[in-house]
Order: sequence, then C-alpha cells, then structure tokens
Amino acid sequence: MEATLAKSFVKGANLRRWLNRKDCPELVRALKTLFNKSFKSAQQQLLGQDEPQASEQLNSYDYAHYTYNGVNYSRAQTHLGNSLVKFYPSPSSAEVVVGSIQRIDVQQGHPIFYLQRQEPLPPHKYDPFRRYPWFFAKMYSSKMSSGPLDIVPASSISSHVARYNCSGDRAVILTLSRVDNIIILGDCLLTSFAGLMQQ
Amino acid sequence: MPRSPSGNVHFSPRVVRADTIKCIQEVIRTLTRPGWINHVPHNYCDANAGTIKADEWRTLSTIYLPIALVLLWGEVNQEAPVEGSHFLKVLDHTMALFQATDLLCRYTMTLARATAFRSLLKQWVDGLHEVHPHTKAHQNRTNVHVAFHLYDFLILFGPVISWWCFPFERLIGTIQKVNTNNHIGGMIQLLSYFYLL
Repeated sequence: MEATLAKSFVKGANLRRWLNRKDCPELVRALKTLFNKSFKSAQQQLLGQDEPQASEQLNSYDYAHYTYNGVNYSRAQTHLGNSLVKFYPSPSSAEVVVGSIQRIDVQQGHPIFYLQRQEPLPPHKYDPFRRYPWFFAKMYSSKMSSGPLDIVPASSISSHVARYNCSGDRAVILTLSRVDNIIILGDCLLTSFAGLMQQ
Repeated sequence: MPRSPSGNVHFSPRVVRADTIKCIQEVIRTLTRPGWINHVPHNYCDANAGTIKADEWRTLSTIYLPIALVLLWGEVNQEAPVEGSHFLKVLDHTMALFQATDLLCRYTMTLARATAFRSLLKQWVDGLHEVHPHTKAHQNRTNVHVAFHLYDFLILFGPVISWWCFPFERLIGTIQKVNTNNHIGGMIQLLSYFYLL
C-alpha cells in the first residue's frame, strides 16, 4: 500500500515538473486545462476568490485586508501582525523602511497602502543585534512616527516583519522575508525560488 | 552529571536558568507576527509542552530564541557588554548555530551564503568544547559531520526547500491519518482517499 501511495506521489511530482518545463507536450497542457476545469485547486481557493474584484462603478474601496501575490496584508486595526511590513517609500528609493499599514485602498483595481513608519533607534542607544550580520534583526524605537502617512502601491512592499517591544522604549524588528537581503556576486546565484514562494 | 573517561565530573556554570526560560516564553507570547508564521508551544520548556517537532525547532531557532537570548545576554543595562564575558561567549557561540540555521533555510542560495553557513557551523563546532566543557565527555555524533556536507548539497541542488523532507513528512502524516481498522490491504478505498486530498 505504501509503495503505491509513494508511487502516485512521485508520479504527481513528475507531472508537475513536466508542466513547468518549456518543452512540455501540448497534450499534457491540454489535459491540465481540462483538469483545472473539473477540479478546483487549493491554490485557487487561496488566491483567486479572496482577491477582491475591482468594480467599475466606484473609484475607491477601503479594505480590512488584501491578498497580494499570495500574502495577506491587513490594516493595523484588523490584525497588527499582518500589518507590519518593510517597504520602499518611493519607487526610486533603494532603502527600505519599516511601517504599519493603517489603511488599504483599492483604486481601480490597484491596491494602495497607507503606512505609518516606525521611528528609528536614537543614535545614542545600543543595538545588540548589530553583532550578528546574518541574523536580520535590528533595533528600532518602539514609537511610531507622527509624520504624514506614506502612500505606496502594493508592489513597493518588501516583506512582513515581526516586532517585539522590549525595555527602554525599543523594539526589535526581524525581517521575515526568506528570499531578500540577497548578495549577488556575479554568477553566484544558484537558484531563485522568489517567484514560486510567497516570502 | 557527565563524566569523562577518566571518571572526573565536569562542573560547568549553569547557563540557562528559570528566568531565561521565562524570557523565552515571554517573547513567544508577545511577539507581534504575521499569521503565516507557524505556532510554537507558548509554554516551551514546560513538561506539558510536548515534543518540539522539526518545523517548530526551525521557527524557534530562526525567530524566537535569537531575539530572547540576544536581549538577555547581548547587553547589560542596554549598553554593550564587556568583551570576553562568559555570557557573551555563550551567546556568540549559540548565535553562530542560529545564523547558520537561518541561512540554510532561506529560499534563495548564493555561494556567499553557502560559505557563510559552513564557516558559522565550524565556529559552532569548534567552540563547543570550550564554551560547554561538559560536551567533552559526550561521544562524537555523525550528525555534526553530515551537517557539513549540507554545504556541498547547497551548491549541487540549490536552496534546501527544493530537497528537504518536509513534503515526505506531510505524506507520512497523511498516510498515518488514513483509517485502516488494522486491516492490511484495502488499497482501492485508500487510494481514492489519497486522490481526493
């Protein structure tokens, strides 16, 4: 019995591999279309239906949460953990800042996030995480910036972060992305799963 | 108490105390995290927390434990600790392993990362006897040797996510859940159950 199960598991994996190849036979592709028509995949249930449909009549919608590229982002009021992100404040900026999503608007089908920044750590305070370059955590101030909210499209979000408020008005911010912070040295990049994985 | 082959008892200062455990549990309880981070037992280290599984160890050692331990041992009254102090040595040593785990579990792999993984692992293995002298009495295990070969696999096969055993663990979990009523056989029903997943 186990052998049969394992065999069908491996056959399924092989079929998926064929579908991802460029030289995949037309017949297999046609069968995939037929299969998708008859069975709803878990992926579709996760992504397709949760994604809010943009309506033509109204220009802007306010959302409690929004799924972008398979990742669920919420506003702080709904789920604080899902609202903490690293983002690029402007399309040209190379530096990422940490913030909390306060409001999510979908304007003509394009999600726009309104973010409140986390204050950086005052320069006289000590950051014990600086000692460990391969552990992507950094100390910030536990206060949120009182300045105007940053308004960015969903594509400017880099990844989720985790936050732990500790003593002395400080907060540890840990980047949870498992693909970024990448150092590309010539042809050293072996394989990238960035497109396949959520984070 | 571990004994060396000559029969001497090794006394090592206790590093993890009740307040350390309390701090780790506090971090697990209060860390603000997105919903996709898997849960770990909030009463970690208590007798009734259950056995920690591989995936829980991964979450613990890449998120909760480093934050808790660095805050505990990496600073003294929010200032830099004295270089060479015992706790800083223990922390540097432990963080080498956590950083190696974090690097290993990343979904993209570069030669620089693979090399950093190997040197961090070496730093941990080399420091083991010095930082935790009681381990001298332990027998050498093959796992440590095998861990070094992960470097070769990273270069041959890329990120661990494409060849780690979690999918098979899941398959085993699925097979375990199938109700067989202790009968061997009954393949057809089982297969139909399997295909419907």
